[in-house]
Amino acid sequence: MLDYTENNYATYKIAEGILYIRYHIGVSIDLAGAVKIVEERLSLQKGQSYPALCDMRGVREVKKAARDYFALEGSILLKAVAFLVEPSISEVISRFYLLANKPAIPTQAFQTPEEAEKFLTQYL
Amino acid sequence: MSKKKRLKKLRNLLLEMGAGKFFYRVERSGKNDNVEALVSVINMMAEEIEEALVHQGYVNASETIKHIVVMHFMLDAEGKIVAVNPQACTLLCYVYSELIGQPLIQILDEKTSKTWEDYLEKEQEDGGEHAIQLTFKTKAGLLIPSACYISLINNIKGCEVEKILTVVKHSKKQVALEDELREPVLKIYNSEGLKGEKAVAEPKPKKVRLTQDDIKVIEDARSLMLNDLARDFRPLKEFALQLGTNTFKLKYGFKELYGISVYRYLRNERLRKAKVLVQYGDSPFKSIVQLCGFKSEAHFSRTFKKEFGLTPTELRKKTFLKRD
Repeated sequence: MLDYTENNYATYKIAEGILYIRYHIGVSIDLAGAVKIVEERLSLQKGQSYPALCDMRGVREVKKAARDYFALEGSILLKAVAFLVEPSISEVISRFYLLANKPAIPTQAFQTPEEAEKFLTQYL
Repeated sequence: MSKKKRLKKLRNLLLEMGAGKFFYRVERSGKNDNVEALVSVINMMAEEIEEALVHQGYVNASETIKHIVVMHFMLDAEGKIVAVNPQACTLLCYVYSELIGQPLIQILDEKTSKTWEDYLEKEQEDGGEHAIQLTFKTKAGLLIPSACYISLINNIKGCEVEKILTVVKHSKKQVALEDELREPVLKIYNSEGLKGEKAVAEPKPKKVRLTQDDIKVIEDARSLMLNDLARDFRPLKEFALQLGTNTFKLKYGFKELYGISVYRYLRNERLRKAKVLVQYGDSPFKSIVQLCGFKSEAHFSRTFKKEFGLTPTELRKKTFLKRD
């Protein structure tokens, strides 16, 4: 089974039951981008649900339409999401998203991969 | 861009927001420092407020005064500005003469200039009307992301204008608000002056009045439905009771707030989720039917076909073939 894919925005990998999404450095996500990102993820998942570790340290901007899309459609076939962030920008974007968009599945932000993985193991 | 420069732009943006203009944004730099985080969060806040402003107008359509700020550009074949309305000059902080004769691209940000160039290259082929997303840059360096509507005007002799580009925005303008508020007051005042005649304001049919608490309850209703599509929400009375409101408020309030009835909203969301599961999942339709709260497989298939023009089986097959 193919467990790795990539597009202009991110690389995707499935390992040990966790879906890893790593955004490229400096990406700015608009609605078209958000749709592409979710589509790519869904075709990699082949109908399986996973907890996801979303490394968004490279993200510089997420437009409103994209935030709304992620909150609504972005959670399909995901059990939980751990954001991996760092100060200042990605941290503030994730906090804003969690406060304003209230995603439907358990979602939390972490500063280290270890903490993020620990959070996700309860959803394996 | 230096810290000082970015902070100055932030200050300008906040001043504009104070004046009721929520459609400006601060240009992003590549930095990852505290100032940039502040820029990022204020831009996002402006986006939310801009949307809420239109949304609130929707909630209380009979009360809120909604202003439409418009920029018009008349452009020639090469995309140079032939004429522009004064409002656009004000919003962009340019004087008229600075804009005339300039290519439109001069007042666009770097990212969308590419969009504009591409558009200019290919638009001639199909003619007609177009909508594109462009970001204007004011003289002070603030950004105005805008949905632009372009109409082509062909073959008018002696007229160099080839297209008209229009931008529509919402704003609150206190002066206009006062004017409109003043009008009925003056009428009452005048009619009171005439003895014997009473100023009778025709009572308008009232819409449902929603308090902040009502809105909160309706928003809760929406998110409950969204997160539990499998659940049967009928009868509405019980759902309303659970939320601590009544059927009337839930029914009409929901329609006011989201412009769609509760059941139709539920149906749309169920279909939306089902479509993704059909397209990208491999779970049997039986479980999709359950997961999305449809009554039966037949009901699901019928509703699905009506909405998307394909049955779930056909769509899955099609997606599968496309993927391979």
